[in-house]
Amino acid sequence: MSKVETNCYYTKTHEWIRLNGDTVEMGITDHAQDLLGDIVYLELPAEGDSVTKGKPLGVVESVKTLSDLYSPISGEVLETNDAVAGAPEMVNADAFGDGWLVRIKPSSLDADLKSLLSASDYQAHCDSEEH
Amino acid sequence: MSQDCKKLVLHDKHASLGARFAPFAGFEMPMHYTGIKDEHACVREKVGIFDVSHMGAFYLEGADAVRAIDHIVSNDISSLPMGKAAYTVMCVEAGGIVDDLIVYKLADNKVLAIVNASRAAVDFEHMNKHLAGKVKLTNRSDDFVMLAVQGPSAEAVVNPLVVAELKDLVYYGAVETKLVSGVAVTVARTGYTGEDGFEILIPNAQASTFYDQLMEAGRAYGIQPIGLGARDTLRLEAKLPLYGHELSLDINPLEAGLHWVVKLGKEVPFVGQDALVDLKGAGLKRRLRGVIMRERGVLRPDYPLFAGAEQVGVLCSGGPSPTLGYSIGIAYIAIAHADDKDGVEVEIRGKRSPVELTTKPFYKRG
Repeated sequence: MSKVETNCYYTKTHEWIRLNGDTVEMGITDHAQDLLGDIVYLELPAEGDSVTKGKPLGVVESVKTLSDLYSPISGEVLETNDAVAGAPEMVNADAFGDGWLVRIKPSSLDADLKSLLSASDYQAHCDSEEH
Repeated sequence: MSQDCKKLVLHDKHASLGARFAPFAGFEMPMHYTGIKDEHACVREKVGIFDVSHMGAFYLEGADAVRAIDHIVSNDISSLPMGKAAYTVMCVEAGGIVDDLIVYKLADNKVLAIVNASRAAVDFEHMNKHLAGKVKLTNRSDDFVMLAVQGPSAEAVVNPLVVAELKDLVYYGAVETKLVSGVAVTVARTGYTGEDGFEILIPNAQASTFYDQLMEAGRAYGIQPIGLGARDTLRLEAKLPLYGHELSLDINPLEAGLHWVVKLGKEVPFVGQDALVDLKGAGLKRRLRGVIMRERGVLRPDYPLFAGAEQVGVLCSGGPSPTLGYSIGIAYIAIAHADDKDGVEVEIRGKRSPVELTTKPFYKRG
């Protein structure tokens, strides 16, 4: 069973965000890394790029397939996780922790949060996808 | 999971070993157990066991069995020694590839053909249509479980369980023998991984016990069950073609680099031979090449390849190479650029990266 963190918001496309002061960290969920299998390459945006809620912001490549990353919120990229870019298997090992991908300065957080899923809603979404 | 998928005879065993399943060619197949990278390394370094029962098993039996198969496939089965197998293709009249297969010459009057699951129905119809002489073609795909034991320790694992002495079984040798327990099996020194190994046909009823015996015999060697995911990365490193990717009805075996299995001068002419003679005379338009990308990133099927502004090919297969640490692929390259040493680029999501072309396997066992 994949892990779900209660202090995160989720997308149906299996990204998470966590609020940290006035910035937001994002990554892919434990469920997503489990579906993808061994992750070997990440294509992430550059610092200063603007990202738009629901639009592609990068790509995750595993041995067997590739998957687009969609931005859960709109804003500006403050930082990408260089450590994980060099060692993508960290996403498999710790998707909610060391495997975070991007830190974003949100531009319309309150509005964006309204359409994101809570942990329990996300869990229900994963369960329904499996059937 | 699709309800239309057939389950393998050993499905429950794979499930209990932790398999994740996915549909492939109409079967619910184990994709991976512990993970593709781990399983890939296990086959390269130790030994792994694959359930490849989805593959088709056709027998040709009768006085003209060898002549009959020789009319259907491109390789020369009449000249093949008894007890040997041959990799080959069969073609339509126009030269396009119906399927690639392994033909086992088991006796003067008995030939076994192992074909791709995705093509089995088409293959059977094609073979039936071109069947001539005193021979009976039987589809026995549902009668057997087919297990592949592959890796450096494969012989050590399988040998104690069978009556035949496997150190005397040469590469592509095939033998009808028995297990020590008395069960009739067909064992061949073949595979699809680039490693030494065996492919074994065993009747369904005895397969579960045999699987357990292999796992037990392999325990000291670190044996693991291996899924289709690692089967694909292993075959890609060995640059072995996969039907539907490198091979299709739109591709002829000469451009696929399979000259070595196309015997244009053999005694029994084969379906597609005339077209292949013409195609050879006219000169090939494209050639199969290995593609290496040393920059970070992953080659995937359908990515286009360029030399300057000109598109010179497209990837048929691609992925990360767990053994080599960079990405590899296979593509058909326009003949004018097939031997280019540099200047070829792949386009990935609108961005170009340099690649190298190669005629050799990416990985060859030491």
